[in-house]
Amino acid sequence: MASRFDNPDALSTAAGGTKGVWIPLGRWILGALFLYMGLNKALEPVEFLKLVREYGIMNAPWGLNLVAAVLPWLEAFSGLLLLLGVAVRGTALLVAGMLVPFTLVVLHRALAIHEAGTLAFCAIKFDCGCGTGEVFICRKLAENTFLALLAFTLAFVRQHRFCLWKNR
Amino acid sequence: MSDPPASGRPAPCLGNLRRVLWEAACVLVGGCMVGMLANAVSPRGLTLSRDYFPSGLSTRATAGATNRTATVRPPVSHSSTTLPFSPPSAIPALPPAPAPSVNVTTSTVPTATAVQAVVERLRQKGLQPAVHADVVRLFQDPRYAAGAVVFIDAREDRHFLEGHIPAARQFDHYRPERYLEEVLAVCPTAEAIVVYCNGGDCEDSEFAAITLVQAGVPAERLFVYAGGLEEWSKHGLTLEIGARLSGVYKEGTDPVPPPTPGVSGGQGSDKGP
Repeated sequence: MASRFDNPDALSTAAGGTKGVWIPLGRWILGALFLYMGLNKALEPVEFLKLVREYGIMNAPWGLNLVAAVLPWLEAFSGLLLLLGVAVRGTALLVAGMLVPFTLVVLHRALAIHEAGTLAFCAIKFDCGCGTGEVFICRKLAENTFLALLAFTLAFVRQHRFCLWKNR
Repeated sequence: MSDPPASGRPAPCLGNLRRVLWEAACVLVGGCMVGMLANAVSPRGLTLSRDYFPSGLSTRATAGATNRTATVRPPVSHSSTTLPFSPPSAIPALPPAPAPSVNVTTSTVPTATAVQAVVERLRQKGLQPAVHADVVRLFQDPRYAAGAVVFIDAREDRHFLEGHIPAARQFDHYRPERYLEEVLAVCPTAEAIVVYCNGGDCEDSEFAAITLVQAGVPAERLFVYAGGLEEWSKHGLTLEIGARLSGVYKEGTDPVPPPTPGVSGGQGSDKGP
């Protein structure tokens, strides 16, 4: 039985049609966000380094320094590729691969703050290291979930429009 | 899922997945290379091998300091303590520490519990804490203007320029190459060096103090202001705005006269008293 994975246009049609603009629009939004947030952090690596340390995921200096030095540029690079339409599916998959664990880490930290204090969960606010300053956690989790779903959609759609480098 | 083709090649979906994964891996490697290169050429880049968050002083460095703190242990409250050195008899009696402003309430001034937590954290790292009354006394000491007492602001440029303890020197330990030479030039002649940052959860003053000790500053002369600039400001004390010795002050509700500007040595614009 043929599945929709055999039909290269199935997902494209489901996502708004090959002639639709929703997929490219979603790609541009995701790309612009990652480029902006990545550059924000890349231009202030010390501030991002402090934020990475606050998560307590790793203590080794070289690990912290490597993440703080490289990750923002990787985000900005991915954002630029999405904007330009180069290696879209792979980049989108990578972006999703960054968003999912990061969202889980933010959730974990928010839950720890919630359990330690008396604040309501959605009243918790801190700088999660996203490049947009302090944010309310519920809003940030919702945003990241949406962006991750968008990234996965872009990764699965086979045909992308307005690309510098067409996927074949 | 469709049956694999008769030729034995993997199903199209698997081939697509492999291609996408390969693409993602290439983007990952490319992005990491871009990041490494950008970090290497950027003046704000991080030194990958450096420990920006030292855990504490070594035993040898703390031996002298802990001996001092064993005999001079600041109390929990904001009351003054015995200073680690005795003022020479030629210097007139110090004015009393300023009373808290009428606008200051216990809810705005860092609580004794919060300050004590910072004090304990400093001791665990082998550093000497200084409470608010000590810091004000040192600030008002005539030897501050003479350079025997040095205040060091451990925050980065933006926060320093927004307001700092008058005549304090800046030492951002994340960028030591910019500040270390100037700071080390005044430390040998200083009898007391007070390092501060924002206070509370801010650990930059502690890391800066450890960096200074590792650079050769005697640990027994180094003190970390437990309450930080937050406590200084909430007591309504004067802040200097802009660069060091700018002459622009933000008077608090209980202003403490700044030391005579241009006396604390080392600056081209300094003038004698």
